[in-house]
Amino acid sequence: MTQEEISGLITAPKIITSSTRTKFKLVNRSRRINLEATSEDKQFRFEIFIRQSEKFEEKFSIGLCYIPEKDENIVLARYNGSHGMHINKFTDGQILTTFHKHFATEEAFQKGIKPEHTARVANYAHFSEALLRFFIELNFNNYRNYLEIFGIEDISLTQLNLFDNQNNT
Amino acid sequence: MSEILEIKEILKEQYLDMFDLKTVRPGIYQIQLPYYYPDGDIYEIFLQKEEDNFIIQDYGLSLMKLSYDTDTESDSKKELIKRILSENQVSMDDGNISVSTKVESLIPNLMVMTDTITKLTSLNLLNRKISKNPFYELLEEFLSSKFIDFGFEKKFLPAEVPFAEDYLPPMAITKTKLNVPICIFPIASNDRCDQVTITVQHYLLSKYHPLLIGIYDNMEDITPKKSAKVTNLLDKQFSYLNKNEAYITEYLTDKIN
Repeated sequence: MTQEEISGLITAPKIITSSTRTKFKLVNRSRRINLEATSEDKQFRFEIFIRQSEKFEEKFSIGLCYIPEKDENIVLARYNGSHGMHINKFTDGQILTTFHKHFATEEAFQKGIKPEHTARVANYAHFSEALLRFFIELNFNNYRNYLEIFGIEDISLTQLNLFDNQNNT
Repeated sequence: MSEILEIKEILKEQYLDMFDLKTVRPGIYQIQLPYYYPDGDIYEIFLQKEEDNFIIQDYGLSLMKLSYDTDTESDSKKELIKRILSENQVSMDDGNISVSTKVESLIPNLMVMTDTITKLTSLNLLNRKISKNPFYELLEEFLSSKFIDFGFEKKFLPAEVPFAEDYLPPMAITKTKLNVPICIFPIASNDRCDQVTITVQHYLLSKYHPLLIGIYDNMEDITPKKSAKVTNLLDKQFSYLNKNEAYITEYLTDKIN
């Protein structure tokens, strides 16, 4: 898969198609939910998987999985919590010790490693903010209908960016 | 300093550099060991002191990680998980994998924990869908046309292997002079190569020893690290199917008659 194809899928406008009555479930000490989604033009199918540790709320992963018709599913992005160290051991060697985002890369496909192996420092500091950023940055148009599932309030990207600026000053 | 001592020092120093311990909650410490998931995230292992003992545990995070791309709640996966835990003598309570240890056995038991997580991680390789490649159909057609009278099966599940249905079913020729079947694994991708490795390891751990053969669509397409692993396990490999049919027929016929 080329970088252009990956970026196209990540940024494609999407809609969540699962029922808004879907519930978080507690399984093996983690809160779990999977939501189905498609691209707005219905050309591509996706799955969102959300996991959060019951014991450590800062340990979570919010993932976007692309479901091709024939090939195996591909994780395109994962917005992770702070779960200990991550090393981009097969790419640039960067070490991350806090909240981080994984993205699929063409380089990973070429090397035959996990597509979403490479991670970068994230622009959020807790689960609710990560979830909002995930929905907004990955272009889910109807995410507001689903926020009640997670018990969080909506906040626009502008407000999130203002929050970033305040933290940086 | 002798070479062996020098190497020993380098290894000790680098290993210690990668080791760390941090407090994540009062009395709960996260251990940093140089063990990473294939996506580069570190294994999540925690330590808690209870009187004279230590509890090494993962608070359900290994199964949480596995659940990203694997249905950990299916009956077959639950059985496999149970088996891995039993083989490694670790306990699980509501997803929390743990080992209780005396202080003098702390490091060996940490190794047991990392080994358990490694085995659990490999479960997701078995569910990967393999892209439709005409090579698999071509090989099936070729083998069934030549060996249909010798008990050719396109999806062979050996009765001697527990949970064989959870692993990759090879093609097989079951009527042979060897008194064991010939299991043939077609390999056309890195993922398939991993699946063959895990399946054959499971056969061998189950003390099942058929004649194990790998036939590649093109061996050069497989990452050397992955093909090296499977090479150690298979009895015979053919690098290509194309233009190799006569040689493969001759080899298999010799094993049958």
